[in-house]
Amino acid sequence: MKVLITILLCKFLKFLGRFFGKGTSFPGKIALKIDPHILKKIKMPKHILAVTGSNGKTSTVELIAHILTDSGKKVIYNKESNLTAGVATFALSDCDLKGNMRSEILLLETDERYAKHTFGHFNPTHYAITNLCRDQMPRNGHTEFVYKCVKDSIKNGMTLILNADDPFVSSFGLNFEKIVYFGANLLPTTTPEFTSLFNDAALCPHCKTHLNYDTYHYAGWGKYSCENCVLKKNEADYTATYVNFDDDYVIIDTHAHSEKPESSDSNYKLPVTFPSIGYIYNVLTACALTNLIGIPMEKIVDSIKKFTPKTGRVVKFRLGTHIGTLLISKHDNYGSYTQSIQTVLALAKKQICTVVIIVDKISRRYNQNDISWFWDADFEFLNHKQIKKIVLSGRYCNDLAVRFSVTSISTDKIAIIPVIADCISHLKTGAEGEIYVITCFSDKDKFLSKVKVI
Amino acid sequence: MKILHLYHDFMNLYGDIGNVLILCHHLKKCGVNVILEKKSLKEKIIFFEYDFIYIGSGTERNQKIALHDLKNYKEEILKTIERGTPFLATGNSFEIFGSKIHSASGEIFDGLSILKFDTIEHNDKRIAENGIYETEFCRKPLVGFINKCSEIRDIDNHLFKVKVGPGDFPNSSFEGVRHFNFFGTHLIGPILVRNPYFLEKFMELIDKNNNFKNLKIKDMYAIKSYELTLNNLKI
Repeated sequence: MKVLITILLCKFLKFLGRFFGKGTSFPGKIALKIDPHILKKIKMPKHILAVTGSNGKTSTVELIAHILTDSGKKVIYNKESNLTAGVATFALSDCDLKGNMRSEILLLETDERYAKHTFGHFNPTHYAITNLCRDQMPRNGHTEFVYKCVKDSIKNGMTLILNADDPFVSSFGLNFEKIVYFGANLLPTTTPEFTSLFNDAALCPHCKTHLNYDTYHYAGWGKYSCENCVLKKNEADYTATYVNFDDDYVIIDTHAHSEKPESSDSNYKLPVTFPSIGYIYNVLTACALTNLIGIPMEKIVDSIKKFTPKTGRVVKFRLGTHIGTLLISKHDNYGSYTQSIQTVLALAKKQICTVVIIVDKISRRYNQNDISWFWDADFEFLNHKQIKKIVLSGRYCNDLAVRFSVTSISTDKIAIIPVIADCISHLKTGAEGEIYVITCFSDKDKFLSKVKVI
Repeated sequence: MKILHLYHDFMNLYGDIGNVLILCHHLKKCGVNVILEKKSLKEKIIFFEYDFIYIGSGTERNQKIALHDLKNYKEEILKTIERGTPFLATGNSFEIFGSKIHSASGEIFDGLSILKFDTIEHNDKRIAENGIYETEFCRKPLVGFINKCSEIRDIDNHLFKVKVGPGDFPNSSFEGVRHFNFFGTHLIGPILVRNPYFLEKFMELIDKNNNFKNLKIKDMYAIKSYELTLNNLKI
């Protein structure tokens, strides 16, 4: 009876919330107050898929939802709130009055620090961990702190889907039974030498001895093995064997799951609509998760070809005679910046361009942001002959100027313009070729409101 | 001039590498021939060879690895510091040079005991704040950010007076430690990048024989950034 009342109340509050614009976590919060064990009492679907990690959660979950829906599966997923209360809201709303969830598949994006609390209420059958990167250090402390939180969320019985290239994520597989790995053999960034500014996995996350690397993708990702313990990059079950940003495709090999190993039947060629390394990993994660619950690879590939991302991380615009693209990147997040820089680089190879970096955000918590992450980001890569001009703008343009002063990029190429409006006037006449703007969610409209979005 | 970046690979958490990059950049601009050496575990380190030694911050686990390794060099480090070699330890790396580190899980690690202070680590309680700090060493105050999970007790020889922001422990008016030319602080930023006047003083300190005239920071952007930050942080 209590279950029924809780479900009804949750549905009712969610219905009311639509009129009052209340957050999606509120009904779930009340439901959990009435019955803290409500999520254990309802009947969950056969497949519960969870995705966590520092970067790419939302985009990956969207892609998975698309593939599953396209295959005719009834799937429910959290579009907004990824904490326990938010999960409770949409899980209870999906229940019939007997407390059975109607969907065949429950798909969750879970916060990397809070997943351990959410999973107390129920456990996913499949748990994908995309990556652990430096992200919002003033809030998160450091990657190893988040690593411990994620570790605490892993429970026996789950199937883990792990990024083999990331030593932190990969180490979750040590002494674990059911693991599936995804990874890349060769990315456009892959080098035999270390070219990044930091490596959080310089020491093995498991035993703290030096890791040896055959190749680096970037930062600590690559083909590594520990001098001391058994941690190494495992052969992936879903592998990007070749990523080509010149002709925009990726080859994914699934030979480990093919009935005819080593045959070309296990190779799938997928178009890459936008040259983003993050996207490659999202695709790999999505392939692994959906294939594991029975969707054939052919069908998955077909669905991915039809996919257009909903959360627009890329905005096209026109400014004077120039076409431009704004890449929404997270300040304070190494992975996000690296991806944007690599995307610009891939696009710059095709035609000359101007790159604009805007850091203007004033954090709600601080009247002055921590900018130590400038010294993690690989701005050096922007030293390319096709990049004709670099404009640094926003409140932190002086700090960016100092950062760029220790790159090998010629100062003649760099313009420093504090006010964003002035930066736009400058670009109208002074830009060369296409314009690529790298900035964050909270700064993007300061630029986009003054140009023609197309 | 030889510079040592100690444990460059695993003690580099908060853009710490920026300190070394900016220092080398300006020394070179002033005509100094700089040799930067990066050293890590299992490499022989001869501390006397260097004109400046830098170590940055690490995770709590990595800090213990650095501590364990540095115990092999305790006597040399002590002599190097007493000889007056400029030595900068930022973030939790300077905790290594104290008496003891009490970890959040209750373990007690003996420090190098070159300085007399104790560190108490907290697991979930992190301090992440801006600040303004003053020292007699530099005519202008310093600005920066602190991101730590520890408090430090019983420092005798303070480096900074706190004007704004966190100190060694809650409500402490002091931050960091100074012993000869050893500077230990939790201030990140990176500190030498965001504080051009402090960097200038540091360059003079490193050039102990006054071989180079005019060790000046001529980067107007660094100075603008510093002035802006200072104004924003003033109460």
